[in-house]
Amino acid sequence: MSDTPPEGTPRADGPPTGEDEGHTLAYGHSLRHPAPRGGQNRADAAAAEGPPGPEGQKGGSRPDRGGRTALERKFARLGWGFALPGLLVVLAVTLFPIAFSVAMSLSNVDVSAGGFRLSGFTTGHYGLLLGSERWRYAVLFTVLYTIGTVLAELVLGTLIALVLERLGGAGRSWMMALLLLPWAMITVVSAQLWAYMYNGVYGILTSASENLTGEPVQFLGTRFPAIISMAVADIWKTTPFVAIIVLAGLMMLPKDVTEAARVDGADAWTAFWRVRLPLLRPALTIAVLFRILQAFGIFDLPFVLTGGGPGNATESLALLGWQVMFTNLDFGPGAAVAASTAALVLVGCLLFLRAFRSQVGEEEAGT
Amino acid sequence: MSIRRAAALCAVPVLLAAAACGSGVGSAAVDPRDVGPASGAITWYAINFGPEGLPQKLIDAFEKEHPDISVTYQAAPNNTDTMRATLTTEISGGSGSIDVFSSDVIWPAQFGRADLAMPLDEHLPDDFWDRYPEERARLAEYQGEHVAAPFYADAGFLYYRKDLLEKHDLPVPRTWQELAETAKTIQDAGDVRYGYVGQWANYEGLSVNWLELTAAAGGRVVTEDRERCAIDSEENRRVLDFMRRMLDEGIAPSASTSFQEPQSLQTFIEGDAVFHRNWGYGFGESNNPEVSAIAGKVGIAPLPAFEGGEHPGPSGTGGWNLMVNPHSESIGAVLTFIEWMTGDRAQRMLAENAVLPTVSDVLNDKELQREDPVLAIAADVPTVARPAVIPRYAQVSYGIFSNINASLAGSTPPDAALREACDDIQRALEGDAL
Repeated sequence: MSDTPPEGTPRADGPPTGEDEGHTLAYGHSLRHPAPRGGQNRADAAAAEGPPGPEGQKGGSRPDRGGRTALERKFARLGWGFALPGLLVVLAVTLFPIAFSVAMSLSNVDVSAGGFRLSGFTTGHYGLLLGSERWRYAVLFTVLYTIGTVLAELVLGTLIALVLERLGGAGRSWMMALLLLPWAMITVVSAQLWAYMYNGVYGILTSASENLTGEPVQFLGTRFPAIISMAVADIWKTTPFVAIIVLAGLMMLPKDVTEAARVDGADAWTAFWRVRLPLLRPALTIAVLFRILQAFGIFDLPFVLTGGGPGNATESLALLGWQVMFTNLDFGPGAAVAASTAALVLVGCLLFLRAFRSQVGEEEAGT
Repeated sequence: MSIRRAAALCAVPVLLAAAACGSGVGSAAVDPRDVGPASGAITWYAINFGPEGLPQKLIDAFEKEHPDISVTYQAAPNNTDTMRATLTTEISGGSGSIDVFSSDVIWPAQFGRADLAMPLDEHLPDDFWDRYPEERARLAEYQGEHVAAPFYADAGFLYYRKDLLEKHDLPVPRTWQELAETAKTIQDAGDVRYGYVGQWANYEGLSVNWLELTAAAGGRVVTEDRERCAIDSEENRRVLDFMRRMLDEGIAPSASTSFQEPQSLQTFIEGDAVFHRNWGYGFGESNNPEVSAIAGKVGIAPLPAFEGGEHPGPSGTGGWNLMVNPHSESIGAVLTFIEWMTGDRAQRMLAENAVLPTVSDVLNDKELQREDPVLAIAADVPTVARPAVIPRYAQVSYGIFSNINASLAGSTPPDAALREACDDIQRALEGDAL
């Protein structure tokens, strides 16, 4: 990755200016790329002409009912025509399996040499889930695990991104390459490496813990250490991903707002906490969404590291679903586990987005 | 990125992931049918076994005798559960690309119930099953019909350090309690770190270890009619206490609760344990100077009895069968292949390559036994089979290993562990477990 800031970063292409001229920087930009209404100051324009939305359409092409010209509608139809084959493929490979999976979770499934036979509607599989302590524990574990690891990754990732941003130059490129190593590694492989380090007799971490405390810590053989050990392996692997997304977000931030804050007397922490972090929200949202999706479906780490053990301490929903489907060959309940996982993560994502949106709304109202 | 688009992004992969298991529906009958000629090309899907290249050697020998049939060996992933998942999707999806496959000794009921294996009795001669010990042949049945042909065997053995026992002038222990004491003596003398390593992790292998110990102590997991759980008993409580004592006193490493076969074998061949329970392959591995620090110092014995029980203690039945994909287009050739693989020639080849045969004649061959101590012991020890005739054995086993493992790891007291195991097993038997 190059160390030049991406296009659109204000400072990079502007003339070098002194600290006191920071305020004029954005203004200078708008002068060089004049707004459609001429060289007027943006604030003036807004004051004089009111909201620009409806105004814009007046001067445009002649609209009909839907606000589109005949030509535009023709193009739209043509567009749908071109998109149709692709949409059909999407329907076949995405929607059909989803529908089939949900149908499977709601019917009696016989797996046989002739394939899956679905017969009769039943809510029994979901009843089985709700009545099963194993499922309830898996839900609890997966939710808490997701929240814990995503929070940790977010904090660490943001810290790393801030350091990388300061670093600049060749140092940043090298660090990025190094950071990407764990992320690029296949999870099964990195999980094996962690398993070696956690090995209860020969693991380097086990002997390190023995030197520290006098008693070797059984990282994978006891309940809470197993959960923490798994989370650490996960955080180690995915923090770089968060860091890189946040770094991209950081580099897109206009410098002038920070500078304005500093001029107004904010210290470095306040400038970060009250100005830059709120502006980083879109990048953070993407990072968190991706991470929630992945963390919620965690399978390979517990599969390799603990097999869900000890007991069922580290059994995630995905691992449970796999076992019900492919070890027990219970396809109805297995589909129900999968569907319940999807429903839960969907709700989780929507809640997160909603919280995020309402906060943005509040802030906008406040300014 | 707008919030709405972010929401859409959120939805699609999740549902995709959830639905990835949906599958097409094929159509094929398992009915008896014309098996076709004993010729053509077949594919054999199997987990690797024996020394490198043994499956191919067997195939070469077979093809020499049956030039009309060509066999392709397709290696399966070295993990029973992954292999089962692959087979289930292939066969229930209607694929006939695999004709014959190796199948774990615990699969017949489960595969039979789901019609994933072709019943064999109609196609094989009546006296075919006489070649096996009766018990072993019965383990390949589902509802009175054979759905698999036993191919190679395995059993649990006790490996011990000859040199350490000699040094302390101690005999090979005949009971588990004696084993613990012997181990303690040698540990206290500072000659070795641990006394005993087995497979006590949260997986199927713990169920085997548990069954061997409890069978020796007279305990059961389910009642004889397989209607009710029987794990919450006095005998089993003694076994669980004994296992926990081994951990508490450091005879078994506290890491045992995360040990499967490779980890426990590693501890033994690094010279860090006096005793080790493992399958037959452990003998060759621990005496192989290339990987083992204790080559030549390893002895093998049947498993100990539990105090007051009969010596030797029972060995867990392991090993693999051959099953036929009901979608195969070359059943005739497959049947010839099975006949040959379970015949004298192939079974001898197995025995000569340190793989335990299933056929009685070869198993009891004195000459072969003289060359291979593992075979000699395997032919004589009593065995205990997992209750895999229950089609829901997978859930029963989960009820065993997850609760026992939790108790060994110290998260559940032994009383509660056995009670919960019993509840889980009962639910599994009633078809009410997840």
